[in-house]
Amino acid sequence: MKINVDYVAQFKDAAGCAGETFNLTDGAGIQEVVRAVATAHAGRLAELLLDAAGVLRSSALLFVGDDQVEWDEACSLRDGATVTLMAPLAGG
Amino acid sequence: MAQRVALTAADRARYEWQMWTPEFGDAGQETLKGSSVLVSRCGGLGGVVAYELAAAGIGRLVIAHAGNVKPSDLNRQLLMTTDWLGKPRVESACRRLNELNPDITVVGEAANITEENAARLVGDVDVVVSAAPLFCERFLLNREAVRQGKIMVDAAMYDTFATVTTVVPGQGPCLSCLYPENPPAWKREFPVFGATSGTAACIAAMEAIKAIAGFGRLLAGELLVFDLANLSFRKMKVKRNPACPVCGHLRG
Repeated sequence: MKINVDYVAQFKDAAGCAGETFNLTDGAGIQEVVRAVATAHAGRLAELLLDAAGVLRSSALLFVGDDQVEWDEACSLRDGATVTLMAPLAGG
Repeated sequence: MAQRVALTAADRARYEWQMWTPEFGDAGQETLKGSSVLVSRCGGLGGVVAYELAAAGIGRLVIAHAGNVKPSDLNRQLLMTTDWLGKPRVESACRRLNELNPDITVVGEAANITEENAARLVGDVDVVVSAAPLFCERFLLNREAVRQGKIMVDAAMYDTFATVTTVVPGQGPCLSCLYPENPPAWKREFPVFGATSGTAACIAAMEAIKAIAGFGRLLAGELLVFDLANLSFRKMKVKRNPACPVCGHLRG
């Protein structure tokens, strides 16, 4: 299935694009999406997203559609879903 | 919360056009006049928040910002002026706000939010606006606002992106629910156009006005995320963290 991924703020800089589409196996959850992103962007974006243990950094926000989801939340994504990865921002 | 204060003829002349907003009216304006707001930092974002709140007739504005005006402030910090380079930012800000609206009280605190001043500054106002460029200051303000049961509008930006949310203690996530730890990758300096920080600021100012006057719907439990590069505006639903050390003990 195809999952659209949008990048917000510093994640966009690190990805080098505002968004892209990933092909994942049916029934993939949010962790599979983030790991696919980290694999595709093994440098800075992967470091911003995941810690040394491969777990999402607590300051990164995840959304499916317009709803926040947790890293350890069981959610089965639908084909065509949009996942937003949002970096923390505090510019004033 | 704010007490209503009677309007003068000069008040009515100044605020007449916003008082035409049906849900706001005389009562809303009287409530703004009796209200007080703290704005943490008056840079590209907080400065425009303060300017809009001064224009709208908030009775008492407290602005907290340390340091002196630098040339690099001037692309976005609309309360700073070229003739004030090298002089305290908070003085420039107070001067500009008083020029715009001499009928309100503006209090300048020549310091950023710290452990030492947070409780006092939050305790001195009805509503708080968080616009500092560092998470540590935002977290302090969030902790104090939640502890004192006060509404905090949090507005932030990076490049062409910005977020706004309104923390209503116990009714939605606080800032520490969203960001449990100080994000290690956040840097003090960031790309910014004044038009981006100013857009976020105007939305934040409207949240503060609505919170005080009691109309409209606040961004409680929602995070407005927008990108002016492609003009996308999205309201994301965000969750409370039941284990949040700041607000987890409050009932929803």
